[in-house]
Amino acid sequence: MGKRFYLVVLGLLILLNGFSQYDQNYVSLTTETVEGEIYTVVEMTRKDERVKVKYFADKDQDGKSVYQRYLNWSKNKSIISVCSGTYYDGNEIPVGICIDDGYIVNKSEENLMDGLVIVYKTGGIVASDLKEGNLTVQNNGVSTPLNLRNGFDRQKFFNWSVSNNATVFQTHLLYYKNNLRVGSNGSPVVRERRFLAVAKDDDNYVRYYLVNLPSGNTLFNATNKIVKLLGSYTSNILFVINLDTGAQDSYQVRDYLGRVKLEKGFTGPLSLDKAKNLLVFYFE
Amino acid sequence: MLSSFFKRSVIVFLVLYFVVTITWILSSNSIENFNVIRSMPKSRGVSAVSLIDGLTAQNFMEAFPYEKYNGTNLFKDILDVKRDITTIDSLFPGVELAGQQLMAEALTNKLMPSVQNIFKEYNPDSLLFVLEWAESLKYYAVLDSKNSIFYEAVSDFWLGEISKGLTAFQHEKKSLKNDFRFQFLAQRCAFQKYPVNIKGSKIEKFKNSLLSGNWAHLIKATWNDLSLFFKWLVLFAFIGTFISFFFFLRRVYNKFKK
Repeated sequence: MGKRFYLVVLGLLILLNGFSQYDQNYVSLTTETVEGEIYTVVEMTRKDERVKVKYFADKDQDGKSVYQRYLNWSKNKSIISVCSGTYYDGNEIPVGICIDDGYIVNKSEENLMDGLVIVYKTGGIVASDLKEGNLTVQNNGVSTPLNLRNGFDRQKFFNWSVSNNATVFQTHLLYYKNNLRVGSNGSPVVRERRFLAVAKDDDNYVRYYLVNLPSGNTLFNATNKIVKLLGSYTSNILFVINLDTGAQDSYQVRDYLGRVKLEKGFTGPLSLDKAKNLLVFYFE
Repeated sequence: MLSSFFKRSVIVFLVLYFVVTITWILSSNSIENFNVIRSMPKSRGVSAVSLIDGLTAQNFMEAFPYEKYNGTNLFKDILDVKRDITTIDSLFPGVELAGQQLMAEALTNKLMPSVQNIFKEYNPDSLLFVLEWAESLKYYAVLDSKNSIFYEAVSDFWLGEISKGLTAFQHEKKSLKNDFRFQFLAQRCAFQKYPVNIKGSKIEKFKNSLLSGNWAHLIKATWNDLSLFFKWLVLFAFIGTFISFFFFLRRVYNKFKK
């Protein structure tokens, strides 16, 4: 009887593990309350490169919506989190340089946004400062430095993006190389805020932090608060970028069993089908 | 008699008013600041050959007299530029794409100060002139694949500047998006993948959110945009409505009770 019971329990555990969507050793979901404000943090490690990022920048060339593209793509994927990415204009076109899986959507640089984010085919995400002009791209294993302020290098960058099926978008770079990049003159609008922070841990592995702050804050205040909060998670933040919480405030987080989390701070007010672009974190 | 004189005076005044108004409308609708384009001479300009004395493979990018080269012949005939690229390439064979790099610099960053007025004040005709020149380079890039990166770089620079310029003009004056010429330029930029970031007014945003059923955003954005005074006003209105409703229900209840 005793042996049978333990076998059943073991069997159930194996079954349960088989159903799990991601390994909790790589992803953790935390809710914190600091001075009355709720913060939710999705912490993901890039160790073993099992956590990956995918960005759907715009509808495809056949006019298929971002949400439809996401649905088709995600059929066999273990999704960790999905949220809206960068801003879009009145014509529903992404603002700033934008390339979707090698297809150029927008070549016009937005001067007010310093951050150029590249999502690699391998699932990695990097950001660089457009003002510094020292973007490095990998071309057949060779690092090529490019200054996007130079017309020649810009063309090389666009050609590289197309031939490497890169995904690129522009957004506000709020924290970079241990420096706060947003001033008190940043967006004064008090609203919910969401950020992606990328850091390196003590073992030199990259970690992603998706931080959501559902209470109203200006961009400057919110950035300060989350950088302070992340201090207890990591001492080496590489960069923090802003994610759009305006007219396309979509956010969804799943637990390790793939269930959508409905607790405050892990959801956005808009359903995913309303989003004009989607940043997806998944597990492979 | 007096009445007849009065009538005549009114008619004369109206005719004069009509003539003056029509003249004023016609004169104000003439092509704005056309002088900007007129001042761009059609002469062939200076060739790079006459300006290369003392240049070396190490210093040619910095020491080249760009101002003299651009001179008054701003948006150059592309055949002249192609000739100059070949000249520079033959002078510095050891430098990769020397001619293309030098000419790209001359026709972008170094040319900008001479034409920056075009981007300071909304002048659709001048913008169209530059746009057409930049667009033509895209076709040259296909035809002359050896120098394609040069054409693409110069075209990219100017199309980007035009798109940014139109964006800035529209953000300054929101109603500009209803201007036919603005729309025409914006569409051409969008076609070349340089969309103009057109901002709508708050009323338009409200209308769009309403039509798309984006209620959560609508309520949040409206609340955020309200001044403190209006927030209090909304609060009082809400309390007032609630109290009125309470008294109304109580009255109905008492009536039915009796």
